[in-house]
Parts: sequence; C-alpha cells; structure tokens
Amino acid sequence: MTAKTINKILIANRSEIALRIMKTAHAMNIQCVAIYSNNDSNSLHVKEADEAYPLNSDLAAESYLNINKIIDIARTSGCDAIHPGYGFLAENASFAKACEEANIIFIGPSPSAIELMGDKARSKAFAKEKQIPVIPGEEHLEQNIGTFKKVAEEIGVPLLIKASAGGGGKGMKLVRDLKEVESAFNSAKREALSSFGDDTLLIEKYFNVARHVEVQVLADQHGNVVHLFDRDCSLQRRHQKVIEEAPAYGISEKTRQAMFDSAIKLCKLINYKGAGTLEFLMDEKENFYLMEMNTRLQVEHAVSEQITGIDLVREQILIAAGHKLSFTQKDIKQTGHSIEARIYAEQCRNDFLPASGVITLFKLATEDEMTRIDHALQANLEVGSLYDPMIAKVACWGETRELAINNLSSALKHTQILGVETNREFVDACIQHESFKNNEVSTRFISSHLAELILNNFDKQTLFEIIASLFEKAKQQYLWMDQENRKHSPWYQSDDFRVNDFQDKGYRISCENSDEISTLSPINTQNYLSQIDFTVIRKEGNQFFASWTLKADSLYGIIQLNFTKNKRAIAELELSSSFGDFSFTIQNHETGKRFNEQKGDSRYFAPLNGRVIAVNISEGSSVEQGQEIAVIEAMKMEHPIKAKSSGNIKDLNIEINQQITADQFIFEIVSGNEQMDKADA
Amino acid sequence: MAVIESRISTKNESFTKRREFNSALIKDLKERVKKIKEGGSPSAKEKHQKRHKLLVRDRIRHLLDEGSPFLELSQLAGFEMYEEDIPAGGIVCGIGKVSEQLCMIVANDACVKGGTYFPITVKKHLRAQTIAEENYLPCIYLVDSGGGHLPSQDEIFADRNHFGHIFFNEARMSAKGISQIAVVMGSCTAGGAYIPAMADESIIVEGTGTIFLGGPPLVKAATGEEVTADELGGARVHSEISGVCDYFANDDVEALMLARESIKNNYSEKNLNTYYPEECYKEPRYPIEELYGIIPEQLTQSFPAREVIARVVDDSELHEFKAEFGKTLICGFAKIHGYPVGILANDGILFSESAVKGAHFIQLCNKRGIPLLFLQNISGFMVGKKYENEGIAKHGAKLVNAVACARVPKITLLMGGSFGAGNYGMCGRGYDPRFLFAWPNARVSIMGGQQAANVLAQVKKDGMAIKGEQWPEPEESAFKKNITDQFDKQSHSYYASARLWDDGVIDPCDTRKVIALSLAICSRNPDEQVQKSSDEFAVFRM
Repeated sequence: MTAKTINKILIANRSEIALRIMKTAHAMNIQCVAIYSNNDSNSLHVKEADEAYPLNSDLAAESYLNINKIIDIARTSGCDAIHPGYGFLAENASFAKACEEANIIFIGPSPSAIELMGDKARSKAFAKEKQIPVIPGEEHLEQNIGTFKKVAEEIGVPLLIKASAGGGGKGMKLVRDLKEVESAFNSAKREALSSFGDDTLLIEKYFNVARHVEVQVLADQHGNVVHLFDRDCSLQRRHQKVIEEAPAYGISEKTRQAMFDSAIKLCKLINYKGAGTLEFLMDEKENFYLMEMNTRLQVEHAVSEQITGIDLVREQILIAAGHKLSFTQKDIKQTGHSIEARIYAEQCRNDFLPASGVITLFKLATEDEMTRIDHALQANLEVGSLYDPMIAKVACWGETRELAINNLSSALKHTQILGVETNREFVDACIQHESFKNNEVSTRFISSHLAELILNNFDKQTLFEIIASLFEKAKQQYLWMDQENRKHSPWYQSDDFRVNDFQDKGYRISCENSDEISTLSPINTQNYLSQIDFTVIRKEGNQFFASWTLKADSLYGIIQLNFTKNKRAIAELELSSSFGDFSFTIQNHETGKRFNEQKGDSRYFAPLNGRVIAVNISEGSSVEQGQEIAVIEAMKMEHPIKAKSSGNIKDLNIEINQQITADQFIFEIVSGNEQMDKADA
Repeated sequence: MAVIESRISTKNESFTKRREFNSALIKDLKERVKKIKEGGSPSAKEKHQKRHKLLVRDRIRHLLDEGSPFLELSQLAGFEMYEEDIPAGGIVCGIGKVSEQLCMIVANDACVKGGTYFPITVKKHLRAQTIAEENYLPCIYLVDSGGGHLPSQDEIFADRNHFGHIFFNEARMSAKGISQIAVVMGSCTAGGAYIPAMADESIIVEGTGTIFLGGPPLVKAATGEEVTADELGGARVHSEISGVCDYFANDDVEALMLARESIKNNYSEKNLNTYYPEECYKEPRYPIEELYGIIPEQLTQSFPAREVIARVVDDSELHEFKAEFGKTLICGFAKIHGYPVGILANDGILFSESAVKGAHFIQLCNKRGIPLLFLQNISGFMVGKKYENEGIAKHGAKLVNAVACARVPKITLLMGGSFGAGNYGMCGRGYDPRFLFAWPNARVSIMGGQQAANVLAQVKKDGMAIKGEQWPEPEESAFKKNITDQFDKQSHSYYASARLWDDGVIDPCDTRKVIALSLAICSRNPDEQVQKSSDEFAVFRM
C-alpha cells in the first residue's frame, strides 16, 4: 500500500481543537477548510482557516453533526481528508463510513473499530473474552433478591446496586457488607422507581479509592502499534475531567508495563489505526480494569505530547495517509512531567453548572517551551450554553511533577478571563492542595475536598467572618424582636460577654460535605455587623427568617435561625453573589459533649426533617450493631438509621409514614448489661 | 450637660510606654483567668466527663440564654492562697440571663477537690448570695460537691459567716420571694444536702445526683447497714420516695432545661423588675482602649480621673457638681448605657472641702434615687497640723457617714490606690457597695508600704533611743525592706481579689460594660429599704 497525498483537510470541529489541528496541518503545508455554525461566524477557527464554509444553522444536529452537509462541503472544496477533532462526529461510525464512501480520508480508525469500541456492552464482553480485565459487574440480571445476593457474593463487597436508568446518585446504594444487600436492593428499587419510573437494577464492583488512568496509543495501517505512556485524569467533576497529567504518577513500572501491554494487545486484536486512548480504572492495589476505549484524539493529548515530544495530530495525518510509523516503541522517551488544567466557563459554587457571558477582557500567561495554552478566546466572545463550556486548556511541563505543578500554578495566576465566571481559581486550588501535591489523587478527589477547594479561592477567613457576623446579627435581631425597649441594655447585646476572656468564639460551619470549626475574634466580626442590612421576614416561635444584604461585598441572601430543643441557636444561610450561590449551616461550637452523645449514644434522634418510610423493628426487639432500624426519606433521598450498638429497642417513637422533625427522639437501644443493672436495682 | 474634652496626647512617649505596660498587665490577667477557667486537672475532668457529666462552665453555658453575658464574680478567688491550687475557689459564681431573667448562678466545680468547700469557697458562695439578696436575683445552685473540706473544718463550720449561713440565706431569700432553685448534678452530702432541701424547687440528675446526710461509708460505720449511694439518695429515691426533689432529669442538659423552666414559671414581681432604659444612648467619644495609655506604671504618678470618666460614660457627658470647689474629688451626673449614675472620682488627695463636697453630692443622689459610682484612686486624707486643726477628721466623717447611710445602690471601682481612710470614704468593701471591682494595677492597704515602713522604723528607732541604743543603718534598711515587701505583696490586686476583698479584677476596657451590667442588676432593687429612720433631713449644705 502506497501512501496517499493529503493537501487539504476539512476540520469538522470548532474552537480550540480546530485551531490546534490547523496549527499542525499548516506546519505540514496542508490547507485547512473550516466549517461554522451561525453562531461561530466570527470565531478564530474561521479566521485562521484557508477557507471557511457556513453550516447555516445554530442547531448542533443541523451544523457540526450534519454528516451530509459536511461531506458536501469537503467534496466541493476539494478536501482529501477530514479531521473530526474530538466530540461531535469524532466517534461516529456512520460518519467514518460516509467519508469512505465519498472517497475522502477519515483521519481516525475504521468504522468497525469505532462501532465495536462505541458499544460498551460489546467492547466489555470482547475485552473480557481476550483476558483484558474489565470492571466486575452484571447487567441484565433477573430482578429478584436471590439473584442479586448470588451475584453480590461473586463480586464481593464493596459493591453498588444501582438503577440501570440511573444518574445523580439517586437509586444508587453502596453495599459494604453482604448483609446489606437486601435492604439496599429494596431501597434502590423504591428510589429508582420514584426517580426514573424504571426500577431495573444492576450490580457493579465499587472502588473505595480509584484512579482514572489511561494509555495513549498510536497504530499505523501496517500493524505497528506503540503507546505514548499513560495519563492520570482522576480529578473530575460532573464526570468530566478537570486536571490531567502525564505520566500517571507513582504507579509501579511493572503495572504500567502490564497496562501498556493490554492496550497494545487490544489495538492489535481489533486492527486499530490512528490515535486512541484506553481508559482504565485503577484501585489502591494497582489492579486495573478497562472502562472503555476512545477512538479519537483526546482533549488532554497535549500532556502526552509534552512528555514525548511527539505531535499526535501530525502522526494522525501521516497514519491516515498510509505512512508507516517513523519510530518504534523504544524510540519513544518519556521526559519530565506535564499537567493540564481545563478552563471551563462554569459556576464552581453551584455544582459546576455552566456559566454564560461575554468575554470582555482576557490575558493569558506567556507561552514558552514549558507552557502551552490551547484556546480560541477573543474579545467579545459570547460564551453560552450552546457548546461545551471548556474555553481553554493550560498545560505546563516541568522536570519533575512538583515543578510542573509550580509552572501550572504560575501560568494560571497569570491567566485572567473577565466577563464570564470560570474555574480558573478552582483548578489552581486543586493543584495547590496538599493531597494533590502528595499525589493522593482519586476520582473522588474533588467531591471529598470540595469545600476546601471552593473556599480557598474566596478567602475562607473573610467568608467565615461574614457568616459568623450574620449569625450574630440574626441572634441579636431575634432577641430584640419582642424586646424593643431592651435593645440598649448591655444584657441584650447577645454578645456572650465573659469577664477577662480573650472573647474569641468558636463556630461550627458546615458547607456541602465539610464541617469546620473556626475560632474568630469578635473584633473581626464586628466590622461587618454595621454593614449588614437586615429585613426580618417573619418570626414564628423558635424560628426566625430574614433577608440580608452586605453592600460592600455585594452579597445578599437569606438566613433562617432555628433553636434546638436545648435552646441553642443554629442558622441556615443562603448566600448569593457574583461568584456563585452557596449555603451554609452555622452554630456555636461548644466544648462540651452534645446532649444526644451523652449517654453512650443509646438514645437516637432524627437526623433531619423527613418522612419515615420504613421501620424494620418493633418495640423490644433485639438488634445487632449495624442493623438498619428505620429509613427516613428527605429531599427524595433515603437516610437509613442504623444501630450503633447491639441491644433491645426501647421507647420506639416512630411509625411508618410519620412526618418527623430533626432532633426528635425516635428510639433507644438498651444493652443487655444495662437491663441487668436495672433488674438488680 | 457638658462633654468632657480629652486633653491627653495619644502620640507621646509616655502614652506609648503606659500602653505597653498595661497591655502586658492585662495579658497576664487574661492568661491567669484562662488557666483558672480550665478548672481541675485533666484527669479529674476526664473522670467527670466519663460519667456523662458536663464540666461546670459548660453547665452554665447550657443554663444561660443563647448569647447572654455572664458577669462572673471573683475569678481569682483562692488564687495562691493554699498549698493546693483551687481554681476560682472551686466554685463558679456569676450573673447571667436565664429564660430572660437575670439570675445568680452558683456552681460547684466537682473537678476541683471534689467540689469541697474550702474557707474561700464558703466566702464566695456567701458573697454570691449577698449580691443576690441585695439585688433580688433568683438563685440557681448547680450542686456537685463533697461538702465541707474536713481538714479546714475550723474555718468553715461554726462561725456566723461559715457554711451554715448558706442555708440561712436560702431561707431568708425564699421568704422575701427571691427564687431558690437547686439542681443536683452530683453529690450533696451532709450539710450540702440542705442546699436542695432548702430550695424552693429542686431538680436531680439520674445516675449522678445523690443527696444524703450521711454517705454509705458513714452509714456503715454508724449502723452497720450496707447500702449503695443510689439506694441511699439517688434521683429515683428523691423523686419517687422521699420527695426531697421535685423534678427528675435523665442527664445534665435535661436538668438545666428544667431549671430554665422553673425560672420561666416564676412571675413574682421581684423576679421581673429589672429596669431597662428605653432611650438610645451614645457611646463615649473616646475609645476606651486609650485607658491603657492613661493608667500610669506607678501609683506615685497621678492621672486625671476626667479622662477615665470621658471613656466610660455615654457621649462622654458629665454634669459636674461644684466643679470649682474641692477639686480633688470630682462629682457629677452622667449616664452609662442610659442608666443614670452619680459619679465620685478621686483626682488627688482628699481635703476637707473635697470630703464635704462628696457628702453633699451623695445626699443629693440619695434623695433623687440615683445610684452612686465611686472611682477610687486615693492615697488618703490630707495629714498635717493645718488640716487636723481645721478638723479634717470631722469633715472626713461626714463623707463616711453619707457613704454608709446612702440607700441607693453603690458601685465601687478601684482604678488605682485605695489606702487608709480614703478606702472608707470612697465606699470600700466595708461600706457594702453592691459591687466592687478593681483594675489589675490597683493596690489596697492600710497605707502605702513606704509610709508604713517609715512609721514602724520611726517607732522602733524612738524606742531604741530611749534605751540609749543605736540602730545600724543596714539593719534599719533591712527592716524597712521587709515591711515594704510585705505591703507590696499584700496590696496587690490579685492578693486582694483572691481573698474576696472585691468582686473581681477586670480589664479597664471592660469597665463601661461591667458597670452597665451591674447598674442593670442594681435596678432590680433601686432603693434599699434599710430601716427607715424617723429623722430624715433635707440635704445639708456642707
């Protein structure tokens, strides 16, 4: 087979990846044809292309996904090849087939390889058959408890029982003990039905701590397959990668080699050609399981390029033209370390939902040998909900991982994008986090460190001071509501005055999953007190509702003050600002033990407001430690209440369908010993 | 009213030096108090908490209303008094808001020597009761005590102001309609048993609260009967069988919530009559922190009392009485947090004119029902032939007379020296001020150490001279030094406060706050009805 000549490429994509492909193509003296949706007519990829053709629509299906239109343009503009980039039609077998039929080179693998790897069930079965490890689990199970118990025993704990139609954690139950299979099965069924209208469940191995590790491969049409080492892409939110690095750090050479061998073996088995990525899940013991293969150029390809010096797009084009790889595996050297941060237009404090706006000003770090920025930014660029919110990628190389982190952090600090909210500070906080520096990365890195990562970039101290001030102000306002004439009295300042105290106060502030104890000096909180405008909405018994604004910081929100049955104040705060919305709970931190912890935890109290949906025991029945006693449903989520010790149920105070309030006493577990004591007395 | 114009410079070296000196003094005080607040030893506290008992200060926190101030009394009680360390004298006393009512809280610290009563513990308990009685404050006793400290029995048991007076006070206050609530959160043994027994209402905690006249060991010794503490006097026994207690609580917090309920359910006039001024007030025009730069390092250096008043009273306003007469005693009307107050402040040594001016002013305030605030910085009355001949003793007596007989609430603050008869004329402890506080720089003694040394040396020297003996200079110096050392030690504010000669050493920056809190407390009983004399007179012009 002789190599064909490629003189002109149509780039079936937009934004930074279109520009990236053009850069290499132009360097290879290949002309580039751009296509664009109505919305993209002023985009950089249009300006940089040699020719550009409109797709005459704003709808993705009618523009970047419209196979016929794109093939037509390629044909009429005289292109030899089409590069699909990533996303859109990059892994669409019909598109690859349509190119073939139109006699245009598709820069990517064959339609059959795309098809096989695109079908998760098929590719998993295929890999399993060829002894490539895949994640243990079973779909299409008979939906009865017996089957699930059997499969659970095979797979072993921990495992997940989850809704086939699932998402967002609903209808998903973690089982850490085989004894829990039944209750998890029942409760997942209930949640799946109420959330998705379909109670089909599947079972899957669960990994406590897992890394996302992937292998970059290149395969030519002559049976040569090489790998370009691995990447770690564990830092993800909303199932999308945020930070990627190459190589995957801290994995033994033995495991890496086994993983590379698996990757190459699979590519050879399916006659793969072009660039591809095999994604693995790796547990703490370095067991790796194939998740899927991406048959295209990855967003994060830059980090592999930085450590190998190989231009992946150039190799893609050469392979597509039919050239043999110009190097063998042993020619490929890994040098230093590279990390990439994806800059998204998004609201980090609002569950990373996309942000929109017009970019008014941007300033990027200087690109050099170590710093690479892929983007399609320009002034007045409108960032909307139409396309992926990723607007730039900053990749930095260093001799060591530590240096790469430093370089990236510095580049991020020198990158400023105004007009739309971005995750720039958030990604910087990620790579600066101690755990990241110590390479304690896992797919749950972001969710478990969320509060620290988010607060870090808005001066946590300031935020806590504001929250504490609001709390103090709310308490004071509450106190004054019916005591107008006493508000001047020093006894009614609600300031916890203590003689000769340093007066620092402890607060327990909870946000998302984090619970922090912070000690603040009233000198700091008092500064804010005078700046807060309070509007009391209502006071009902032990509850107090108010809205507030803090002008200097253009913050506003609402606060709800509640009193526990022990008369302690606890406030829920919602805070809105130009940088996002978030909610907090705050109360004074007391040194003493909490009431319900006092008597050895034997008395149980409702953890939150909700409805009782299951009571699995009756008065007097004996229970074992860890046994599920009851289930409370709140906010469509189920909260099981488990026995913290073995014993007998006493004073059962709940029944099914009962509405209960937080802190309400629900039952007590009396241990055998205690009963003996009572009998003696 | 005229606004006091501050004349000090905050820029000069003396201000800076004084500020540094006093900041260090306050830091020392706060650090000592921090240590005191830690209470007993870590092992004692751990043992205490293992029994699901709250530490004493956590108990108080649960008892108080959310955000309530706690005007704690005599934190330094017992400080360096005994061989053992008795933080806060083993008992925490103070005034706080419980169910919206101001209450006196008296709480044993069981982690300090098992909460046993040392002599200073008894004194502190009695002082708290006195304050409660004078100001109609309902009392809440958080009892957790092993009773009297037996080795000190001769100092705690038999005398008038010993242990027995606690129950006497309980009975007399209850008779006057001042609520007495006891919460039994630990042992109440022997005499201690009468604290809940004498209370209007008593609450007991299951598992930890016990009340009995004789504990199991004593019972065994006396009658041979073997019995557990719980059977003898536990929560069940006293709630179900004996009726010594009225409320049964499962744990500390529940007991404290019950105490809050008891206070809430007392509607007697005496319980509710705190006066709260409705008018808005203005903060002083000068920052109170500047007091650090005003208070001198040495008591021999004087400082202008007006500068203190300007930083304590509302809007720095003082309506000065007889401003041009007897200038060494400043008298005037002012307000603190809206509470009217008549101020007497030393601004030099007391002369006859200043003394009679003070007596005149006190009569005036007494007629008008205005509480008095004494700001003491006094080395004494003037001495010498001229002054004795003009009768300074009888003029001073007028001031002492007025101070003693004034029926309005009196509050005293030692802001510097408090020596000799000056202490009496300016309402020292012997004149029953409702509250007496001191700054850490304050010194109190019969006279200055130097003067005392000189006087005693002179007497001795004269005695030796009669016998025709010589007193070598080095011996005389050593003799004098001995005296001054003793006086320095004993006049120290910590020494005084340890012995409860005052109700606490406070940070000068808290002066306005502490006095305002005290004035609110005093307003509960604005006009003490001491035996109304039949011979009332008009205000004498002195």
